[in-house]
Amino acid sequence: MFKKEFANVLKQTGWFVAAALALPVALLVVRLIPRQPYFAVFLSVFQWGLLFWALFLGASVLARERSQQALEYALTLPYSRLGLLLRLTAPRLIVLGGLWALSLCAYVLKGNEYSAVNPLLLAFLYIGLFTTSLSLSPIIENFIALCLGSIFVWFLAFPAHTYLLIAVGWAKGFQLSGAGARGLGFLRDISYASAGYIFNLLIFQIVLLAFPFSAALILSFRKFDVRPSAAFAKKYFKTLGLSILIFAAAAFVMTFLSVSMRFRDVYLTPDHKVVEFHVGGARILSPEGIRKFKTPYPVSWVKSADGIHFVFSDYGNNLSCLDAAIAEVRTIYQAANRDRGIWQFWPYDGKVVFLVKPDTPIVISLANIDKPTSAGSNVTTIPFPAEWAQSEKFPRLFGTGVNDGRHFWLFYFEQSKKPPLRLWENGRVEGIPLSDNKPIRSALYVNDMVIIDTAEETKIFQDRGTSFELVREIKDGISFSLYDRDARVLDQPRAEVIYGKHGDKIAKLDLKALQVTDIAPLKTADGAWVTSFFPESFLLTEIDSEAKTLKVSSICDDKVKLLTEFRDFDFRRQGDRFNVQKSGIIIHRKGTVSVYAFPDLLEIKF
Amino acid sequence: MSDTILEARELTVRFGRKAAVHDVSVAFAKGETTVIAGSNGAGKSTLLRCLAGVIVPDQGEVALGPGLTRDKIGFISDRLSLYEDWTLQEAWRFHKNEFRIETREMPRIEGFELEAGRKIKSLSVGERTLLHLSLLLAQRPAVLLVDEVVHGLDPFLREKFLETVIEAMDELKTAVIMVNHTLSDTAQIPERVLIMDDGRFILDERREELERKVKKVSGEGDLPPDIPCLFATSTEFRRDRYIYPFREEWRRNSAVNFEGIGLDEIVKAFIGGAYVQKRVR
Amino acid sequence: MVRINVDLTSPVPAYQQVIQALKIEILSGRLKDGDRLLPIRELAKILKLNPNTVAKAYYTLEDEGFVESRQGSGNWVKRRAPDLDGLRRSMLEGEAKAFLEKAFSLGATIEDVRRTIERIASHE
Repeated sequence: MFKKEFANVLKQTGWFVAAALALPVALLVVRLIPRQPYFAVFLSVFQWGLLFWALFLGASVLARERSQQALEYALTLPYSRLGLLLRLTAPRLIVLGGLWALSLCAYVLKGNEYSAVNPLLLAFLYIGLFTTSLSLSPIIENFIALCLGSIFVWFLAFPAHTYLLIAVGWAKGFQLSGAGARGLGFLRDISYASAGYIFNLLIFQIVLLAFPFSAALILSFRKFDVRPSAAFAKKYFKTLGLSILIFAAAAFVMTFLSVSMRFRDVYLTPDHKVVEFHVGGARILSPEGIRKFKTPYPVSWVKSADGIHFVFSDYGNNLSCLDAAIAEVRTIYQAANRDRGIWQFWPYDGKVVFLVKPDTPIVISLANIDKPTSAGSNVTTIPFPAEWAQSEKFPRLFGTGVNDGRHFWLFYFEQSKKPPLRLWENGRVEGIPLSDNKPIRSALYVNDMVIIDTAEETKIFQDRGTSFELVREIKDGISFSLYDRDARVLDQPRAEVIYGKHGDKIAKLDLKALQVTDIAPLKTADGAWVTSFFPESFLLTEIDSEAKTLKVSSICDDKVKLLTEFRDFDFRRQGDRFNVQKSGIIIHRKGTVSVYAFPDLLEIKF
Repeated sequence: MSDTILEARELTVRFGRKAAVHDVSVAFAKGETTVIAGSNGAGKSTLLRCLAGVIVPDQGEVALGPGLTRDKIGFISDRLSLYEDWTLQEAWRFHKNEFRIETREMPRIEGFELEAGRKIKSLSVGERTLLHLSLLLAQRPAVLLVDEVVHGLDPFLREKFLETVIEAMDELKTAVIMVNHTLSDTAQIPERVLIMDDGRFILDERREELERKVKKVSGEGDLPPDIPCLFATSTEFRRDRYIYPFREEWRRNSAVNFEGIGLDEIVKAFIGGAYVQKRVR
Repeated sequence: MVRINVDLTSPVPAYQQVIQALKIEILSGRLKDGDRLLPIRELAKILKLNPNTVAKAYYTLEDEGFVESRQGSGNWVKRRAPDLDGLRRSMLEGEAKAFLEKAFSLGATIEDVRRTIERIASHE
């Protein structure tokens, strides 16, 4: 039976593969889709077509017996019902697995070029669809009704999962009322952020769907016979109902445990307290003990203002600040309309600049961190003038200052045609004449100069008071990636040198002579970063993937000095990462977090 | 007592609300030949399908006797279930593999030849029946379950069918359980007669006993009142009364002529009687 | 070939009919001493009887001395000097009884029967 079935399934699958090979040709020839390599189209067609094939494979498990009047004969074969089910199902699973493996190979070989979907994620969907249609096939005799019914049931898994997440959120003590339409989505976001796509797919395709439907099929198929399906259906649905309850409970527990598992953002304060944020709130660890804070809404994004104040946004669209010195949480800004959320924010010097979305045209808001005021009362907003105001995807604040008593802010925009610009508090805007459209890696405002690093060169513009003038172009420039999360000084910093990467060397940019000079070689350019606590200190971090180490060195007076080496750090392992902060280094390694404080980089333990 | 080879214990099978088989228990002995007769819808085919494993009873169970395995049970019904798209050769190869049959060539029924390359759906009803029978017999079955196939066969194939079954009975000592409406030329084959009505057995007797216990009285004469009349027919031309259970002494005591009748007529009388009882109720 | 007809509607059990028919064949000399009887299976197939029925008939014949069964090779008509007359007589009586039962059920009297027999016999 197995061999026969296997041969049969292979034959049918041949048609599927032929169709998958032919369809891209048709699509390309008729120009239904833009011109692209055949393989790119084929990969998409194959991956998504496999969804339908998975459905078909499951639904067709009894099709041959039914269409050829052989069901009675099949039931007299000398094995149990489960034995029969196994012999009919196994070939289909094998073929599905084989096709999936093919898509995996194709993806590994060429997928990145063609932005194909990760087959690992699709695997869950295939299994979910397959088990649903397989499970329903003894009950529904009409093939078309079976396919449609299976698709419908499969779709139900999506809202089921959302309600599960809402239940988990409620159980965690989050406020859900008033969260609005975005609120229902935020739980999905948390889960994806904290537990990952794979975990969530596992929950709602496998635990909520594949398991109960498989259980219902396996437990009730013993009673399957040639009578009209109604009799068997009753037993099946009873088992299904029970299984769904059990697995829903399991899914609930799993999701509940997954959501708050890790402290995502860990910081070290100057007085060596450890501040940890996770989705449900924060806690401060000190020699005196642990202070916990629970936030009513899940935390979404945290930035350290000065190592003492931590500004964070949440899914309730609020902006708040945790003051580690006095162990207090204050609301800075509360969204009036739940649909307008905190989108980007940059704390600096006791203030925070933030953008609220959707705001088209862009408006920036400004608030004070320190002053305890009632939320929202100290917020100033400055709109962009009309010709600059079209909304942007990725605005970045890279400098602020005061000229003649007037504040200004410097922005650049990723993936945009808009050049970097300066926005004055009176609403006036000056563009920085960056002529070409090359993507900006980072931008810096120092010594009244704007230094912009693109992939190919470094351009330096001088602030002339009301405009910027290009004063130097250095081809093959220095790359000095400065990340948002670092508590760097945005407010008119002054320095003499900047250190950064120049190809495969460490180099310095002399801010007087505007010259780049190499000072030391790098073992590898990839995996090395220069982090600066601008302008005081510069650190070099190097990752060695083979030796699995992380080296931290200081760059000072044109010399690189190794400070320490951390072992057993594998950047490729999921969850391993490190974070260089002003007060120390935070290492996430194998699921545990270690904190090392400057200047000696001794571990802090509580 | 011969050993039991197949037993049904308190079987109940429902179709919707109605019970097609109601709390039925029966045991079949090794090598025993049984006919299950009854009116339409009595539950005979359902019972047979339970024995074959094709229907799973809602209550009760079917117990296989010592040494009996599922691959030694053969089931053939008028639904003629086989994979239609297959050729004979493919059907044989499949059946051979599934039932682990050792003979290499498909067993032939004498005087009945079919080309191996023909597709099953191209065969007539009779040809399919005999093909299926030859597949089953290759299993060397200890139990053969036959559901209403005989009447669908033309006289030639019917003879071939019965001959083949008789051969199996002799050679393999197969227990044969046949569901039949009418017995006609199969009347001498069964040793045991079961009659079903409304999902239950109303009769379970050995054939010789039955032939002894059922007599017919033709004609108008009066019948002594204490003689149990199972069923009476009455037309313009004749009046028949069927007596069960008959006692020899009545022959002596009354002038009535009690005729012995064949099994076919006996079964008809029982089924008729059951109908009458239903109407009365 | 052996002439056996089993009357399905007859009240006489099939195996007895087989026995009767075989005895007639043997007594009439159509089946001679040393002749082999049809194998059980063959006879059962031809007559559409349960092989057990045929087996029972052969067994009874063996008991009564008409037939001997040899292990592995079937059933053979026995060489014997049977009490043929006695047998003939009892068989004749058996046949007559059956005939008379039928005649009486038709409503005939003994006189009718005797006259009918004489009439037929005179024609033979």
